[in-house]
Amino acid sequence: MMEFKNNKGIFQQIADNICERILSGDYAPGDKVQSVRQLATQLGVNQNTIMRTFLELQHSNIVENRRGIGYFVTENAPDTIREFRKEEFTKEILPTFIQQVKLLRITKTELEPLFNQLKENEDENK
Amino acid sequence: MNNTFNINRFGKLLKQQYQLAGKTLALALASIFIGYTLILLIFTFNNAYIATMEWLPFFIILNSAIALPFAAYAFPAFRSKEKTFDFLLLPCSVTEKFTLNLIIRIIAPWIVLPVIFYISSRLATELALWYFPQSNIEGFRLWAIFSQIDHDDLFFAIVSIILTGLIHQSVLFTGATVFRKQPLIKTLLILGAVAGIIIFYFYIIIGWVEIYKNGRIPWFAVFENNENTVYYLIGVEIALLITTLAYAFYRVKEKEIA
Amino acid sequence: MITINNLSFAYKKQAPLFKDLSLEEGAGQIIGLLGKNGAGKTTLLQLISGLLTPNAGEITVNGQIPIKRSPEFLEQIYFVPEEFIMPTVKIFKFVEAHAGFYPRFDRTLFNDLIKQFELDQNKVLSKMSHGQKKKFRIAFALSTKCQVIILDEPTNGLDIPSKAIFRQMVAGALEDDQTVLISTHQVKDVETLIDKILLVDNGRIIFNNTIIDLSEKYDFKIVSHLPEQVLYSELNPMGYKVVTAANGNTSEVDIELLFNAINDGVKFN
Repeated sequence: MMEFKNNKGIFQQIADNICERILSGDYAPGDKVQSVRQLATQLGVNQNTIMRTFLELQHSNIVENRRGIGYFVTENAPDTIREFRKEEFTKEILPTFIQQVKLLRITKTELEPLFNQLKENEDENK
Repeated sequence: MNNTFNINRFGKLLKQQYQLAGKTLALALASIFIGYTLILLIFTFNNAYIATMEWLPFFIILNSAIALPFAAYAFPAFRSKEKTFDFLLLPCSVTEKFTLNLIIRIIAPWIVLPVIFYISSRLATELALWYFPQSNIEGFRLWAIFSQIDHDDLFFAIVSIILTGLIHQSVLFTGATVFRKQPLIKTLLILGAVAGIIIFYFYIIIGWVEIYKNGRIPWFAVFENNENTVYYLIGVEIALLITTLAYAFYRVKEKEIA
Repeated sequence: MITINNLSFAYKKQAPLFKDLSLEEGAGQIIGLLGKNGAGKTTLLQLISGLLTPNAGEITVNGQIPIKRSPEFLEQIYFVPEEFIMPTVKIFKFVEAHAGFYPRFDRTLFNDLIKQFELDQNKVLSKMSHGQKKKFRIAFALSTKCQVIILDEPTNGLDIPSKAIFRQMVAGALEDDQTVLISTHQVKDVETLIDKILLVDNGRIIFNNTIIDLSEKYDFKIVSHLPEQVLYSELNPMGYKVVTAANGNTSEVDIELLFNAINDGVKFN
C-alpha cells in the first residue's frame, strides 16, 4: 500500500521547519527563536499550536525557555536534531526506500550516486 | 458602572451621531430653510397686507409637515435588519439609545423648526417690503399671537397645543419602533382605523340609539359643560403620551434580530 | 468564558433549531463553528451575543446574560456579521465615532491592520467593495480587543491574498483573555487558524474537540489501497482519502474529511 500524503500535524511541521533552520545554521546554539506571536503572525497559525511546537521542542531539548524572555536554541540542539532525524530515517524512510528498490528492481549501478555520497560522509567523519 | 444611564457614554453616543449623520442633518436643515423661505416668499409677495395672525397656519402646517414624518422615521436603524444588528450591539444602554432618539426626533424639532420658520419669515417679510415698499406686512412674532388669546386660558392653551403636538409625534415615533418599512403610512392607517372606530361608536350611540332622546345620560356626559373638562383632557393627554412612549421603549428594549 | 446550559430555541412558527444544547468554552481559543446549511450556526452566534432570546436554558458570557444587553456586556463583544451596511463616512471618521465605546480599542493595531489589508483611511465606507468592507470590519473587530470576537463567514468575499492576511492578523492579534468564534463553510480558509472544532447538527453540538488532540489520535492521509482498519474513506484521484486511528505519529487534520466522516456517522472522541 502506498501513502501519498501523510502530513504531520501542523505543530510538528512547524517544529520540523525550526529544526531545519537550526541544521542549516539559520539559528545558532544560544540564539533566540522567534516569539509565539511573531510566528503566529508570520504563518497565520493559531498561537496555541505554536505554543505546542515549542513545548515539543523544549521536551526534546532543542530549545529552552528562559522565563519571560523567550525560547533559545540549546547548545547541542544540532546534534540532538540529527539523532532524531537519523532515527526517523532508519525507521520510516529506509524501509520504504528498500521496498521501492525491490519493487523497481533497482541495481547497484543505478544507485552509484548514493554510494558516493555515503563514502564522502564516512571520510568527513574520520 | 452604571448600566442604565451614564452621561459619559451618552456623550459618546451624541458624538457618534454627529460624526455619522452630522453632514446629512446640516443638509436637511438647509433644505428646510430654503423650502420654508420659498413658500413664505410666495405668501408675502402675493399679499399687500398681512396680519401677524395670518402667519399661524403656515407656522402650524409647515412645522407639522416636517416634524411628524421626522418622528415617524425615528430609529432609522430599524428600517433594515443589518442596521438593527449594529444598533443593538452598540455598547450603550436601551435608555441611552431611546433618549437619543427622543431628543432628536421629538424634542429638537420644537426648538429648531420655529427658529428656522422665524428666520425664513423675517427674510420673506424684508424681501417683500424691499420690493413692494408700499405693502403693509406685520412680521411673524409668536408672543404677538399668544397675546391674542384670552389671558385666563393662555396657560392651558399653550399646554394643550404642546401636548397635542407631542402626542402626535410620540404616536408616530412609536410606529417607527413597530413597523420596519413605511412606518409613517402604516401608523397613519392604524390611526385612521382607530379614529374611525371611535367616531363610528359615537355615531351609533348618538345617532342610532338616540341616547339623548330617552333622557338617559351617556358616560361621556361627565365631560360636557364641566369646568374641569380641560383638566380631564390634559390628564388624558398626559396619560396617552406616557403610554405611547412607554410602549415605544418596551419595543426598543425587546427588539431582536429575526 | 462562554457557558450554555440546556439551550432550546425555535424561530416563530418553526420547528425547534436547538434542543438542550450545552457548551462551555474558556478564553484563549479560536473556535471554528461548523455545520451544514441551516444547522443554526448564525443563530447560535446571535444567541451568544444577545440578539435573540432563548426559549429555555441559559447563556452566560463572562458571567453576563447576553439578552440583557447591558453596556458592560456589549463592550466586551464584537460581532462581524456576514452581511452588513456601512454608513457613508470615511474609515477614520467611523473609527473616531465608534472606538470610544470599546475601552481596550488599540489604534496602533488598527492602523497596522488597515495597512496590511491595503485599505485607505480616507475612503468612504459605503462606496467600498463588499470584500473591502469586510476587511475593514475584521480589522476593526480585532482592534477592539474585545474578550469575545465573533466572525460569521469572515472569508466570504475576501480575495485569495486577503485570506492569508486574514489568518495572519487573527493569529497574531489575540491576547490570552480573548475568544474568537468563527463560523464558516470555507474550512480550508481557517484550517490552521482554529484550535478547536465545534460541530452543530440537529440542534446539538455533536462534536467538540481540539485540533491537537485530533492530530494525535487520528491519521488523516491519502493512500492507494484501502487499509483494513479504516474509520472512514472517500474516493480521491490518487486513491482514497482515509481516517484511521493514529500509529504514534501526528497528522495534519483534514477538517473536510473529518466533517464528512462525522456526517457519515463515524464516532470520534
